[in-house]
Amino acid sequence: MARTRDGGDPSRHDPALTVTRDALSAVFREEAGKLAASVTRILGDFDAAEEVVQDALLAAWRQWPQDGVPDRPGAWLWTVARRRAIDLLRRDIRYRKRVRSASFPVSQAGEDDRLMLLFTCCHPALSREAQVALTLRTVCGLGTAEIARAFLVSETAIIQRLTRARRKIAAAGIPYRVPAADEPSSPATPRPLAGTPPTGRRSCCCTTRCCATCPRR
Amino acid sequence: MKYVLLFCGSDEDAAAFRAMTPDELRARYAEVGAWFSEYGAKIGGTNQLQGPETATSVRFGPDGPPVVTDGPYLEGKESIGGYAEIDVADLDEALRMARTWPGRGTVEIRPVMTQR
Repeated sequence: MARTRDGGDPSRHDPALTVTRDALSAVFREEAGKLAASVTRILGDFDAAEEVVQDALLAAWRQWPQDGVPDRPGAWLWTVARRRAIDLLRRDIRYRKRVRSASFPVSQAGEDDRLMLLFTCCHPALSREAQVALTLRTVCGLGTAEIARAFLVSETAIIQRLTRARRKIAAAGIPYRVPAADEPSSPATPRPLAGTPPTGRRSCCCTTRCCATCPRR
Repeated sequence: MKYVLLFCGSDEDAAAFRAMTPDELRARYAEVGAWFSEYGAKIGGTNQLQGPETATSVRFGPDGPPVVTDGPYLEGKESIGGYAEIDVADLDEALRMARTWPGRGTVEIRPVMTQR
């Protein structure tokens, strides 16, 4: 793994650092969703969880170019995020009761937390546009600029869409959990997306050779 | 969390309601009654409202005294026919209640403002 020798400002355009940056982006993309899900479970607060995740990623961005990417980057990020989450819990009086009842798993949290986050992001009480943007941002770890490009709208519009969605989750009491199969927030009959191929063709709906069933493959 | 369920309907919903036979009406009210007893423990204040033609609105402008007008605040084809305050765990539980509402029309779920 590439490292900076001088340990200087990571925002400098050093060729060695560019490689590191790509590696960091890949790790972040992979880990951000898991991290966001685990922290949301502890804090029960979307906004605070996002802040904690950003802090952890920032810490990695500062430290890894000097020390190299750790063997288990997810565990490293989780340790930093957990510490920061606990700080937040201690600081905020509203969360004191939850500190006593919250359990802090030692290892990196598994798939279940991400599933929970996915269901919250895709709750039917949010608009389809908000569901997709929130999932891309929170579960997939994409940046607002990337999401804006995908939707062909301005980044400001995406930021507003995300803010509105997060506010609604908090204000309307949308729960953080995986619903049972027969519950209202379970997407029992998913609406087909525009562009879904007619029945009889292979089932993949994209056009980018994404998977084995993709018609473009 | 506390929410208010607003039982709304369009002019068409109201017309369909008026066109019901006495027997159908009795059956509908029995269903609504059963719904209220099923969720009785979760429901606080609740009332059915008289029609929008009975409404009077007091409208405050940017200055001057408020203007009193005949008619409801919501203009157009929709109106609120009743409401129920409920106290449930989260939006999913409120949705479960709203989905089983036998009165048809539309049920709007609004979280109640609380002191933080």
